[in-house]
Amino acid sequence: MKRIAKPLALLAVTLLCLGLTVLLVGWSDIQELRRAKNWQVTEFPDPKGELAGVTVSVDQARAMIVPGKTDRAVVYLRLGLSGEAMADWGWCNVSLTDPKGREWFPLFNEVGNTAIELLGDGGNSGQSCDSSLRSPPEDGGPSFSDQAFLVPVDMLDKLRVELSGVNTRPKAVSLPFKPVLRLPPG
Amino acid sequence: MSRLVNLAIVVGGAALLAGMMLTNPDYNSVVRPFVTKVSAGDTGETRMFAGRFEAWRTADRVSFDSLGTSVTRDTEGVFLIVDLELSGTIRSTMVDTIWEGASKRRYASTKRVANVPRQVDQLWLQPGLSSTTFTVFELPPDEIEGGAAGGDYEL
Repeated sequence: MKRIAKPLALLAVTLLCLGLTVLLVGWSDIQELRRAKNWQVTEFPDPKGELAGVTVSVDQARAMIVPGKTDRAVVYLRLGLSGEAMADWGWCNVSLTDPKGREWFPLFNEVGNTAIELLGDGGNSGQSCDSSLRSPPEDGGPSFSDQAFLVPVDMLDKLRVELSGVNTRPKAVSLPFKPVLRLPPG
Repeated sequence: MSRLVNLAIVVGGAALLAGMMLTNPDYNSVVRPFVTKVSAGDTGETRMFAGRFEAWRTADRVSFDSLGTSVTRDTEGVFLIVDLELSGTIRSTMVDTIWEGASKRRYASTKRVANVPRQVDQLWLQPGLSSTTFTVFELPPDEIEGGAAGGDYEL
């Protein structure tokens, strides 16, 4: 029994060293994977929530069916962020999600700019979520940002907006919203 | 007996580590796309998007409007224009295309035809929505028959 115990102990030590080596070599990859996605999403019942010391709210939500392409709609969201810890978020990540886990990112092209112009009612903040983190109003009110998305029309009442920052991930916040449908101009 | 067991442990450990080193994928293997090959007229689906190879045609010269300017391009080879219908599946995605020629060489879409509305590099694919698009390659003529179009994605 004693003769077997020593090799077994050596085997256990070898396996432990192997595990530690894998952990040490893969640590940066594990951290990268952890921050790459919203793994821990807190779903709030109202269009207002809190994440890492920052209050997040959906200030305006509007939608318009794309003229000539009735299967799709542009969604306009004005988001408000407030709180002392805004600068700690780092970069901001905004997306729309549906119950199937599909994800729509904001449009960073001419279509997106036009949608913000049409649906923003002239009250646009003129900034993205990232820039709203870095320029909080001096009066302590929410810092607003505008974003537009292109989504299937049948998803309009099933979407939630999901927000996180580089430094808050894997934690994220998910808020419901009901966009007000607008008619296309003309 | 115990020496034999110790020796077996060392040899086993060395074999395990050697196996891990030999099977560790290099950077190119990790980041290369998962390719789904589709023949003309067929539909294929990858992790990020689905696509249908609608049609193709060739031309010695192409003319197009880019940013309000009329542009004409000639080639010493041939322009291959591929029509596609693409749709996003799980996440908003931008797409790049390649042509794998008959010789198995891979050709990126030409940058000499750019900023054309509906061209594939102008697309921002969205889940649940399909878009008709096209992509243009500049190739030796003998690379077309037996070739295949492929899609790669970027975020």
